[in-house]
Amino acid sequence: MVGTTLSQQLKNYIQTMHAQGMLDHHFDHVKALQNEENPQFVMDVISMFSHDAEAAIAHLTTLLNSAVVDFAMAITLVHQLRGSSSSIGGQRMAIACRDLRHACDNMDKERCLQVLERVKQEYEALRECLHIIFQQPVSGTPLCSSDNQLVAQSNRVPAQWMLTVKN
Amino acid sequence: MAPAADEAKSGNGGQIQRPFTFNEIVLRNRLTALVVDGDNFCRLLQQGILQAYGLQTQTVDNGDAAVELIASGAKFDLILIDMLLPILDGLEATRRIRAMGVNCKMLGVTAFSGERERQAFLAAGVDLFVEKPLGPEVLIPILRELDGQYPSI
Repeated sequence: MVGTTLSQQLKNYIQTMHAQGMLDHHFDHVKALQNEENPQFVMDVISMFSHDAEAAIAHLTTLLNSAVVDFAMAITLVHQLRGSSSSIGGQRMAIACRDLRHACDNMDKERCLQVLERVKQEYEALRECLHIIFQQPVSGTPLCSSDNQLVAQSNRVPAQWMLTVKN
Repeated sequence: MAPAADEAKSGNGGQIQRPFTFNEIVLRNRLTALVVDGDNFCRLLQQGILQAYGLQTQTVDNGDAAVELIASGAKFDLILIDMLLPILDGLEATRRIRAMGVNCKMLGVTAFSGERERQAFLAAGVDLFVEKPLGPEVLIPILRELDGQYPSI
């Protein structure tokens, strides 16, 4: 059945993300908040994470590209990013933020800019990952009119990330 | 890129883990908690997690508001407080809360991970220093203790 296949594919995808280090067990804590009593809460959490992370990354980009870098402000922003990315279970992004923090502590502008690019890449990957996971219906049952949409969106996941589902 | 990816790949090795549920602990008493965090996302998430465990939770976004709330007579079984806070930082807020004679369990939950920060937060008066995020492996035993499910140490 389509619903069962999609549900299993989602589980496989999450498992793969764990195996690749994209997500850690703190993500499971966040995902467990998703329930029918308050279905919007997790979406609000994800939206807030994305909004705040993008604002912090934009501000960091401006700061670190300045002629005179305000490393104290940069550290504050990186601190915030690290806290939020680790709280949502974004392990690789949190590691990148940790490395950026070290570069800021050393006031190494070049290194900061290098690592900032990695932070951006990891954020983009994490955001895509969260979008794929949480676009699924809470109950796991297929949406009658949206099955094709779900399948089409799940096809955005790279093939090597999807474990083979045997019928 | 390679070092971070290699470091992160250690993850769980792709092993299937038992799904986490908030039914890991069932509280017998109505516990209350205060979350003090200047970051909107972390504050919302911590509140959601504590509520999922069954705690009645309030939040404030700066240290001064936390001190004011406690001074007004509000009582909590548990306080989660970040170190980096606007207006009044977490260290000073903790000191002032303790100076009011508040003896409840206080956890310093922060993205800082250095020994210097840990010692400073403990010296200010938190019972436990926790690097963000606060996970169930730390939180559940504390909730059991507060709920009287474990004998106090």
